[in-house]
Amino acid sequence: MNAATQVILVVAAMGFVYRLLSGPTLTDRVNAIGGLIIAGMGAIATNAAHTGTGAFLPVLVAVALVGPISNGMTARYIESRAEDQPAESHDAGVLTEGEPGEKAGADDPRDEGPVTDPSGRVGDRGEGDDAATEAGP
Amino acid sequence: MIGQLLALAGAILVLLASIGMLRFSDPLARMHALAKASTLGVLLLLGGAAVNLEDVNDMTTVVLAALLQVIASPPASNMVSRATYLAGAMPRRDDVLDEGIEPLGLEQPSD
Repeated sequence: MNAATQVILVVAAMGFVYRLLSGPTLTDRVNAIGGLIIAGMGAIATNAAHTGTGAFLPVLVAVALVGPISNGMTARYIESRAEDQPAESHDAGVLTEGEPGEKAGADDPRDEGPVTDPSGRVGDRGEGDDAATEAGP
Repeated sequence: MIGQLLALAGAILVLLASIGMLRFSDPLARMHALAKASTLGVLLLLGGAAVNLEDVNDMTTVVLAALLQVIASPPASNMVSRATYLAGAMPRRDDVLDEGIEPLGLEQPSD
């Protein structure tokens, strides 16, 4: 059953890696790193329970401290980047990378993220689709 | 056996969070999917490991890691979601009342 747990964690980590590579906003990438940290913590704990040795458990404590703190620091960074933008364009190009000019030329730039999201998913990089279809039914 | 079942339940929660990260449509919905796994999923995984381990030293280490994760993860999620909202990454719709625009100083939608 420990092997099944680790296989499930690996499939979940592949989904997080897909979101890390093709997240439309910086928030998605931060969350994907958080999910990868969670999957790694689960893998370390399951491995320690399987082998019965607690040699890697201090790593677990350190990761449990560092992961959420790094998420909070990245949140401060996103917020400061949003404050540096002028008020009328703080919805264009703050979180998404790329040129702010092309986003400002769009019809409604606030709809950029959800519109570009399904088109990014149908690419030929297949990890995320595997993760989504393996547990589909 | 109980510990392995707990760890399996936690892994399934992490997998559900991953599927939610892949399929939800906007950034705060994806954060919502992940925040469940980062508290309850980690708690189940580490609790299952703590039940399985024999040494008291190892058990207390795992419990300390779970406690730190549960304390530190929800404020971090709150900070990230607030920064996401303030940066204007959320799609604004005319048929949904957005109560954060007025107190946070964001502008009204133009149309």
